[in-house]
Amino acid sequence: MDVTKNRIKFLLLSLTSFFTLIQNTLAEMMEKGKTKVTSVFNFYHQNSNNGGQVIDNSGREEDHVVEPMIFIEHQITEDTAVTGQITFDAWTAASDSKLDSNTGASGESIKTQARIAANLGARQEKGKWSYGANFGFSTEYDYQSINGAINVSRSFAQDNFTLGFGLQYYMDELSAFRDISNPQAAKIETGLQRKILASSITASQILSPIDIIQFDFTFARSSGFLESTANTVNIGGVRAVEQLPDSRSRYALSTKYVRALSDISAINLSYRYYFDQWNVDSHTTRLAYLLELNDNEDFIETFVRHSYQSQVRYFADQFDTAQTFMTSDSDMNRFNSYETGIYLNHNYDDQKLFGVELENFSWNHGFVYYMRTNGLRNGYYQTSVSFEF
Amino acid sequence: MKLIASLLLGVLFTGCANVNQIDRGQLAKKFMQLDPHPQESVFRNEVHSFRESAIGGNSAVGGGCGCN
Repeated sequence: MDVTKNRIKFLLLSLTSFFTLIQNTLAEMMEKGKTKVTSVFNFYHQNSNNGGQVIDNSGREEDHVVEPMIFIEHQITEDTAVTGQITFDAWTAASDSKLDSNTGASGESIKTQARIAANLGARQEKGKWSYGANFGFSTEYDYQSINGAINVSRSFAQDNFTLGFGLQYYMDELSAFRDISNPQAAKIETGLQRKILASSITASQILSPIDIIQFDFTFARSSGFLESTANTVNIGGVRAVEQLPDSRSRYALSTKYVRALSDISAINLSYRYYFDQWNVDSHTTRLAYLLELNDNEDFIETFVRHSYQSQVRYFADQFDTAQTFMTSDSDMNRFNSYETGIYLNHNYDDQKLFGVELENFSWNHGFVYYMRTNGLRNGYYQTSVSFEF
Repeated sequence: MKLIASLLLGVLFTGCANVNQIDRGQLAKKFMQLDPHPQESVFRNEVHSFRESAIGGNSAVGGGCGCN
């Protein structure tokens, strides 16, 4: 605990010193009356045979997700914009279907799930200040959420430095099995509460005409029911549901640095240190190389990412006796993860669709591959179209 | 942690001379943005927050049954 307190003190001290010395640019507003639309389609696949949480001991964590997203921003006045986001997911997960087939009273099949989420917000700039707020909801088979966020930022030193503060609050309701001692008679329990409060401080500084740096400190506290719906543990050959504490405080300090290597190329380097109340430490590094391809600002981004995380205090592959807290969720194990990917951004001249002039039209593609040393692999393809009118 | 401290000190000692608006042409380019693919990052951050215990330092901090 003292170690945790010392770390917090060190982080806060570092940030305080830093904020007094450095000074970013506010997000650009569009012309009054303009609307920007971006649609993103995500196609995700993962596989693993090492998921100790899977009820039938197979370890299979296969998962397929299709997730379209639409982002809309409309400039209602010169200094005020309204924003919206709609997300729809559909997925099939081996752990869900195994839970379903191994618990006879779960009701309707959950072999395929779907989620819909929406978010509405507004952003305003007043001089050197920028304010934003949004409100959203998310709903699916075993999870409902209502959430809100506010943020404020101020620029200093001719917009060379920007300091921002954000607050997010989630009120979630989940459904989960609490007792599977008699699997065929197990019933899913509804109305389980989870709340998450997250706050972040972000500062960015233009260092020179060719480089910029950003720092972020995030604190998040989750409370309530923190177990996952489909997670179980093996206690001497008998399956039981995972048990986790009802609170978790989490801290993350991250930094990102972008530097031009030439007029048409740059590196984007980021590092994040994370630790939490459940004894997890994590170090994540990402390096991207970006190359502009032509005068139309088309560009390509390639990146590599490495992350190490230690194991959650309550994790074990299996348990000899029941513990107060126990999990075998492979996501909470100790592992290294490696990720690589490539993005292509292609910009088009203004387009005309059904008589409407579309400006800043772009089409992006991304391929990402990810693997963990405890067996899980995933890969996904993202494609997005963006335009203004 | 040492890397963070080094970066902080680096910023401290290199100083922070103001860059005029007119000199920010390179920084305004799309490939020079701190996040050149912000919408794609929403999904990417979700995946990381579900598959790794560590969250924060990005936009994904809550929501979803995979995020304890």
